[in-house]
Amino acid sequence: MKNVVGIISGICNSAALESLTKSRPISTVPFGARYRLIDFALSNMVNTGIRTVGIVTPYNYRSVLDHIRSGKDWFLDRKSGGLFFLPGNDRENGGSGSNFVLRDLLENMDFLKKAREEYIIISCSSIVMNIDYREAVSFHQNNDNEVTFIYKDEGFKEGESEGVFFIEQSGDRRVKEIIPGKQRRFNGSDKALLNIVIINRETLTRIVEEYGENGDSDLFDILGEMIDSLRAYALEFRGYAARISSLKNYYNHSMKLLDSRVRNELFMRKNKIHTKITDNPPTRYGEKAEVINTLAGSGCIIDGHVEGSIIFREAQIEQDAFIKDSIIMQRNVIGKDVLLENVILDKFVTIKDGTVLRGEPGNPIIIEKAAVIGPEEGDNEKYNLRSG
Amino acid sequence: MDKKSIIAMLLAGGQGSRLEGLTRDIAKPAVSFGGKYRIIDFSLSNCVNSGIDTVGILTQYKPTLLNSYIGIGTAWDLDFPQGGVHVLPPYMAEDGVNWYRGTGNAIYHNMDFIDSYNPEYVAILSGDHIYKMDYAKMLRFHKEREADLTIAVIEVPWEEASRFGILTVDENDMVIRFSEKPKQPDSNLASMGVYIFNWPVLREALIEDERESQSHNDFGKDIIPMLFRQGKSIFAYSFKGYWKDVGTLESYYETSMDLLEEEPELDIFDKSFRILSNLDILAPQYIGHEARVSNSIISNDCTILGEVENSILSTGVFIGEGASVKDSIVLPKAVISRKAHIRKAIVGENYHVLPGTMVGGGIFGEPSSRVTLLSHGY
Repeated sequence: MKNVVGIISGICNSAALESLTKSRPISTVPFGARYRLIDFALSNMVNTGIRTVGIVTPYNYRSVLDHIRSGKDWFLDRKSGGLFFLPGNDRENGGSGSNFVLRDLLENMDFLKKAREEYIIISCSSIVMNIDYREAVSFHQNNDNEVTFIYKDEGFKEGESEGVFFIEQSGDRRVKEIIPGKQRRFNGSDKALLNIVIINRETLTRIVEEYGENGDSDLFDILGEMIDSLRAYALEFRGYAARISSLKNYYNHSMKLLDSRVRNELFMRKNKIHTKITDNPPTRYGEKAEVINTLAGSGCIIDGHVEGSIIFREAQIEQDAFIKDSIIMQRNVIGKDVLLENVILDKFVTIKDGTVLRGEPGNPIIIEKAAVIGPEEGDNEKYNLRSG
Repeated sequence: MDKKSIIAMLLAGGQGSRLEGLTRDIAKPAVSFGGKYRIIDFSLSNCVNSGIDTVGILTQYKPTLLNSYIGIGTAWDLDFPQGGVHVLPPYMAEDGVNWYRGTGNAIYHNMDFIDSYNPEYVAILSGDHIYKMDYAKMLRFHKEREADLTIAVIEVPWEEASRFGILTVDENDMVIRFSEKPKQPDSNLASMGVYIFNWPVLREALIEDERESQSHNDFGKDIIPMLFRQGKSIFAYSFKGYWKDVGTLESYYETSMDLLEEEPELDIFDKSFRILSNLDILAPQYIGHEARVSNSIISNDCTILGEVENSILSTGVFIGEGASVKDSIVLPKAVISRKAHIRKAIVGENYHVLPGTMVGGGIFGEPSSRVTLLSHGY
């Protein structure tokens, strides 16, 4: 993959996950017991053999820098090529709805011009998938494409597809039309773009120079307008892909990791998903631990009952705690006799002894980063919270 | 080159034949321990946690895995431009191939390496001990006593003293007697095999010892007794903490199981003194619908569908449905197939236990004393 450069947009849908994206962009939202969402996009590029990757930074990107640092954990600390941070414009509103703001690429024109590679793969950072781009790149090269999209039929229902682009193709896989989700016709195409595009560097440079000054134009909108004049094709991705675009589907897609087929596809292949290495000890299960159907990271100390849950690195769960259908993030401390059901705890949360938090199925309670939840000193009433 | 205060030489060439099958294909320091670690992680982490940034690692026996595991020391934050980790295998010179004949001889053949750093002090360490130790404290002691050689010692139970190299000291911690495995010990301070030498003293001693045709060229047997006879000032630094030599299958098993105590003496969760390791990229661990896990340590990339009790599972282990593992240690990527039952056993790296197998002490109701080893090298 000597001839390909990667660009990852940290911006797409960056404010979509309510309080999970209050202090961080969507790229660094924790996922799957030890990962951040951007790990998937970044690992896919590295595993394909791409050795130069630019990351367009979203608003509030401290957590992106903290997570990726020199790129060493993705083997991107290179003498030639390597990892580049491309400061994006779009800081305030988090670019909700936008995927690839052309103005951000214009600001980083030097990166595009300096590259000697002919092709660019642009990907957003909020889709969980394990894809090797080699097949798509050879199709792009052999078929002499200018643009190659990757799509998947995700079975979107009516009214669910805002922010998603769909395509109509002709028989030879050429893209005839790009349809924004809002304008999707009843019984229209089910081919949803996975926010990944392979594009000739020359074509991209031309588009950025022509449209980049133009407000917050989105690359996909512009490609849609230009579609007739482009050699644009699309390939289907048949593997597992989870598009994270709301708190609800974040929760549901997290829980799908408990399915061995999903886990095998994401984590057990030759191409591994890389993440920041933290050197935790293994996880310790206590005498009284009762854990079933749960995915757990390293460095946890688990003494309570856990089922149907995702437990991130270094969480502590004390005796007689009962946790069901919940997402427990890094360094959460769950006290004795706590009951959690349908709950998402952001990082560093402490749940004091005896607290009960019970969300409704499909409507989890979410607790903000570093919150301390539970009864005040001397308060004998149990702390009790329900969603709804 | 700037003068270094101290560099460490880590002896990692031993065969470890008393670990039986565990060391058929790999050197003892490369044997998996405590779930995600390998034995050498402890000494290397001690170095970085003690501020030692230059480590020579002497390898000899089946070093392939060890060498690639160590790399340039990146995983232990030991990849420094001036110093860092250097793997030092035996090499060929004008006088032929010089296999390392003993611990002292191994250092003797690498005097040029040490000279190139021109250190004041050299720490001699073993790559096969499980302990957390701040060598900086020992160095401070060494300097305060103006010692030529300081030997780290640990108090062992009196009834076990006859299994160790025992040092007798005066009221100032100066060593007044050595006894190798004494029948009637007059002290219970055992040598840990951790030494700090003034480099000029060690250098001279190594050259002198080489001339001695009867010598085994070994620190404990030859070099230290020689320095003692010469009246050099030798002190004992008393280490307080957990230290184990995992030289035999039994001690490897016991030391591993110590990690499952309610408050283990060796705290691998202590963030202020972390044990670092070099791991593959791994998925989280999954505990299945019918699984039961209690009092156990489980590493990344494990899939547990059966029962695990009082056991340590290394990375990438699979426990099938209806299988059970009790009082056991399962090393990386081993597979315990469905309905297999394992008791008080060590299952070697990559070993596959077939479905329905029943193995281990006590499984048929007999008294369970000995540890069973299941490995390709057995």
